[in-house]
Amino acid sequence: MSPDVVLGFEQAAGAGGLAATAAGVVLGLVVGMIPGMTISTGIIIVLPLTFSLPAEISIALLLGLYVAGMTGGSFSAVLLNIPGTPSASATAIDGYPLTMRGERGRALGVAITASFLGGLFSFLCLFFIAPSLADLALQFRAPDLFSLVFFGLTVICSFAARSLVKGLMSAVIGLMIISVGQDPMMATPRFTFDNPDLLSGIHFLTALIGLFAIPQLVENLCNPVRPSQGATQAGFFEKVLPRRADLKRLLVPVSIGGPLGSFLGILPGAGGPVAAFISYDYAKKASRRPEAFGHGAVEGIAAPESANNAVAGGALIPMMTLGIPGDPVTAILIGALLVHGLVPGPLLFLEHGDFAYGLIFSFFWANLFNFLVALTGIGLLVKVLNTPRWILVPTIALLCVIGSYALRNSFFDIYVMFGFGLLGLFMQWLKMPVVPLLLALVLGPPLEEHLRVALTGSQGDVTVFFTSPFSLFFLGLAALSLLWSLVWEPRRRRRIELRAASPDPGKS
Amino acid sequence: MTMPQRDFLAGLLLLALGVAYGVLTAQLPERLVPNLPGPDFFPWLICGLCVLLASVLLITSGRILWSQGAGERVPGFFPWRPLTMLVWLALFIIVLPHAGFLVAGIPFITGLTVLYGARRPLTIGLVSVLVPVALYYLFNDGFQILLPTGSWV
Repeated sequence: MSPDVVLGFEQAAGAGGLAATAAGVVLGLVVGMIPGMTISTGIIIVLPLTFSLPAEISIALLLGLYVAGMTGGSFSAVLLNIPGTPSASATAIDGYPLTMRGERGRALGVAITASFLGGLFSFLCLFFIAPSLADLALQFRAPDLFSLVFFGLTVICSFAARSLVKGLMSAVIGLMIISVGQDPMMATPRFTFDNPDLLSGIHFLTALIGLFAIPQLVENLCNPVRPSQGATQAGFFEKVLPRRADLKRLLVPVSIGGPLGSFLGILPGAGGPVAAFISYDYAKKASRRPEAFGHGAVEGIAAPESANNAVAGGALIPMMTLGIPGDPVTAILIGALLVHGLVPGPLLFLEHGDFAYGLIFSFFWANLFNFLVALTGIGLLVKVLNTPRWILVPTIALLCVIGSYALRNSFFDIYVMFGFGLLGLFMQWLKMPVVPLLLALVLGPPLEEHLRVALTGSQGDVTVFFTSPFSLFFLGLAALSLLWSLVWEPRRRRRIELRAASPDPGKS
Repeated sequence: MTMPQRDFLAGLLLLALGVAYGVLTAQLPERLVPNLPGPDFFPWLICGLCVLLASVLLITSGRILWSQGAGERVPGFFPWRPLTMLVWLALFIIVLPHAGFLVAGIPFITGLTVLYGARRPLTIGLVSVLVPVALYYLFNDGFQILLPTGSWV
């Protein structure tokens, strides 16, 4: 066994790592179950706390939040029929009818167990696939890396299904932002207006805090989600631990959801909601009693829950090995790693092998703690749904300002954060997606760097991108990704949603 | 304002942004070695894309406006409360370097707590003091992240 594996395990299983994972899990469950709060926002709020912590502790905390946020979303989906996160939308279809029948403990128990099993499967994928992929990626040269990053950027199309022009425009704005500061090859100042604060560019996380958090604060004022009576009564739970009969019923949907979620997690842009709905659809087809789906079938809860938690592990594979984020959360995680001087990509396993394996084992602990904390503390956790907005939201606002300032102890970053908040609101007003901008902020710098290095190496000859087999492979994938996102995926999504909606799901 | 009107306005603004970005890009140092990309290479690509996409947005929304009229109004999201929140946040950010985190934070939280629906004066007072003080000591002493103390204090 590689010494990095042992060191990584020791890192993740140390007292600090375990405590951070557990804290992240509690926070994630809370964030996930509050309707209107996304996991991305939760991570952004917690980020400033991690700046002064060691990298392995920070990532353990954030992974705990990521994993538990997925499960937390199912709590409000099951109890209130309001998915806490988009990934939990499919869970509400069968979860809420069970709650209405007075079996909310059973529904949540199934959701928690399925989430754990899905997460466990994706941990195994992460453990076995990620190191091999990183080894392979070490052979990539500049043209291959450019094509790979370009392939990552095609994810933008899947977030811009409603208006491709607006999605691409959002990405272009992101690319404009990353061009501010010194250029990556010659350190020539670009668009700095002789302002020393702009010389090092606009910090990715500052932009992120503004883009995500400020529109969320405004949204909370315009459309406050009020917990219904169901949540306020949700203090006592019995029979949360799944019965033996329910465990048997979990077998097929989890066998579908786990692998499917892990696979779709690896594909950039597919994400939790897509995995959850596809898994729900397949579980229904595989079931001996498909007519029960939509009326409180435990399989209908288990399939999407196992899938959306498996997505988390899958999305970490391209993030760790290639530096390509699979979804907005992994994009933020890349930013968090960069703050600690760790660059996700093939070199992560080579230069910081112990950290890379530590991250993988932290993911395992996050899943285990998520299972234990959610099962044992469910009665206490759902009380968070009753926390008054007037405590929660002002605290978040203050944390956003602290987060921006603490990055570089600079007031300038706070002004930038506010500016990005206004930009986020403008984009919302235009119904322009923010995620492409976020992906462009992450992928823009390596895109420019690899493009220029490749062209410098080939003396300006662009055929270099088509002669390397790896590069050609990634460009082919990019073409497929474009076709998938723009043609096949919208058709398939409409079909699945129609099918899922057909048996009168989740009567409320 | 209707959606095509918004798109048209956005198209105009983004086109102006693209042109302005192009003007600034033209002032960057050019390639130092012939046939090799210089610092202005990538910005020119972005500029081209921006102008192209803004033009597409402008033309498509313009055609909709021309053929179908303005269409239905889309409800705006700028009633007075969000606007007040943004102005309050801006004021906090401006005052923060001078007044410091605690002095600026307490009235900031008071304003937001009221804005987000708190009504009891005692609760508002407690939250306004406890939240900034707790966060200040958590970051200063717990995480060794020194928050601004201000130049006035």
